Amino acid sequence: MKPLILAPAGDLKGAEQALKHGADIIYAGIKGWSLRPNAFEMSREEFRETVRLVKARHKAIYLAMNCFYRSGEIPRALEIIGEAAELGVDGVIVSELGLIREIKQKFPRLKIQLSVQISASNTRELEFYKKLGIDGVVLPRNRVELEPENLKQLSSVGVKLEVFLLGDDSPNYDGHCFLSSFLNQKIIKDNTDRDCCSLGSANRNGYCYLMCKRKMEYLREGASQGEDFYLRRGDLALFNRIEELAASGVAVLKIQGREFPEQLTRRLIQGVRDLVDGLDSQPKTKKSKETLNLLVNLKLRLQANHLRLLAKSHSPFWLKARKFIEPLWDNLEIAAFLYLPFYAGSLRRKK
Amino acid sequence: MSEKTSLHLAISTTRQLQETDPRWFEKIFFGYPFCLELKDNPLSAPESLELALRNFPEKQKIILNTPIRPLENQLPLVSSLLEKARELGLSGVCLNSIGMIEWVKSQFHELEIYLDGFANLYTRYDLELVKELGVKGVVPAPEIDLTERSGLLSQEIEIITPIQGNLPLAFSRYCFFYPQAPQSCPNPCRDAHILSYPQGKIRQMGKALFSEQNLCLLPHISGLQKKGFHSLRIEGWIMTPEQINRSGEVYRRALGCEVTENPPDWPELFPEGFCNGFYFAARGADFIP
Repeated sequence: MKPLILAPAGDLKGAEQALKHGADIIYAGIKGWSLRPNAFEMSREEFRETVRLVKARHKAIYLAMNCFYRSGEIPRALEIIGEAAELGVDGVIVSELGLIREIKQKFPRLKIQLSVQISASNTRELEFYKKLGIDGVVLPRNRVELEPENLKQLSSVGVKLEVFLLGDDSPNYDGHCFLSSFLNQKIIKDNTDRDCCSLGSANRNGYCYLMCKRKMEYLREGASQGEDFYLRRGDLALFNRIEELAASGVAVLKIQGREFPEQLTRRLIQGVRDLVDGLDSQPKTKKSKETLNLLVNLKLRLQANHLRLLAKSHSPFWLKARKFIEPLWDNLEIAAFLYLPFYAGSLRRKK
Repeated sequence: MSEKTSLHLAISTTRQLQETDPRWFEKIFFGYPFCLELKDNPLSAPESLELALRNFPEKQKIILNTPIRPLENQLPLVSSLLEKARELGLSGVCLNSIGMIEWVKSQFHELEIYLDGFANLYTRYDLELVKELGVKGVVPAPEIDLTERSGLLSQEIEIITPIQGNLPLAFSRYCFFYPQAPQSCPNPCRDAHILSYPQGKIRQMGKALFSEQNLCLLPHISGLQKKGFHSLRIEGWIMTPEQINRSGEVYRRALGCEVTENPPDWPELFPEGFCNGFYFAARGADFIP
């Protein structure tokens, strides 16, 4: 069976574009309640509109409720999920295992997708989560977990496997890294209805300072001078493995990037759509080869995009500035040129 | 009558165990879950575990840590480690995933089950779930501050609070220092080193990253006890035996109210400095003495 495409929507316009260019399911978050800075989450009104739009196109929508909340926030989280269920949302993406039982009990119609934050790695874990009530699971963004042999074993459990098609080949496991909050966390009250916002925590609010992508100094004992050192090892781009992923039991191809420029996400979704639609054609058509090339280029542009993420994407200044900068990123040559020094650096590190 | 406070220890290697004075501690969480290639790690094979514990007199104090995020092909190793734990008469096993509890419980019901900080236990809803699964004790997620943590305290499940040592901050499937040939890893992570960001320093051991500064709650011990925290743990993962033993002694005395502030030899023993972790709702690296 052909895998479905799950695409991000940071706002209503993004949702519209995602559906237009081939997404089967979209996911979005309500301000404060998903793992993204507020700028890439929707107000409740905007979310309501988005659900209407999705339903009018006969597609599906998931609500991302993938933070690790505080105990006192769970009743409010359940209220939000309840409102979404009434609107006709198809599923909810969850990290909090204790919350799953509550959702199952109160809103049995909702599908539950286990977030990548849980990093489920073997069949024993999946069997337990299935019993708990999940329908699907987003697998860790690690090459090892995504080997065909491992995928086949995991798919035998009978929960829908979701795989991120691109992103970082995470040095640290999602949901299990406290580097950013250890070094930078600031707890504030923001303009959402959550108790507080943990700026700098990837797990509690999605405000990660991406320490794994930043340069650090590695100083050995006795050495007079340190060396440049990076934790990050490279990017994960699985476009050329779509056929193999589908054959290994992957049911949903997830595209990340609620914070990515819309023109980038649009081309990405369209490209993946072409690849998925071309899965049946043998031998591979010229079109699907061209699509693959396009996506490889896109990968370079997404790497360029990291530059922006590095610049604390949630700072008010940056959020305003990106409006002017984004058109530049639509130009592949400019993006590649700007990224080149960083790319050369990453090649050196790989050596 | 005031409740008795337990002092536990988490350590990684056989050498640490051999040089640790067990009388300071109620339980010793033993084995390095983050990297099986780490030399002297008792979790690398059941034989290593047996060897490590051969002459250790108080086996019932040992809680065996298990490899974190085991892949499908690593499950047989986990199984044989637990089999060995049962055979040796260890008292329990520590997991880092709620998803693994049922499987372990179904096969090794004699072993008490604990959950460590990477099991992502954040709320009392999680706590309810693991309580029903028969878990004996948990280390909640490190990002939870003391106020939130006190809301998790329960009569039926032991809430373990790390009070001293280098905090585990992240782990990976990959080695950052030596990605080439993990089977013959020369353990460059064991050589003294510092990784520094402008915001602070960290240290790597195996495939995990730790705070360079030591968590230290010594001046807050009596306050913690008053608030109901009666299960404390020293995070000795990358500590020297000297640091472990001295911490055990000092904290044991602090529990008896004999020590209320950092002893004079503390800065010399922990030259990397101190932090409060996330306990005071700030960034983890901050230190409020």
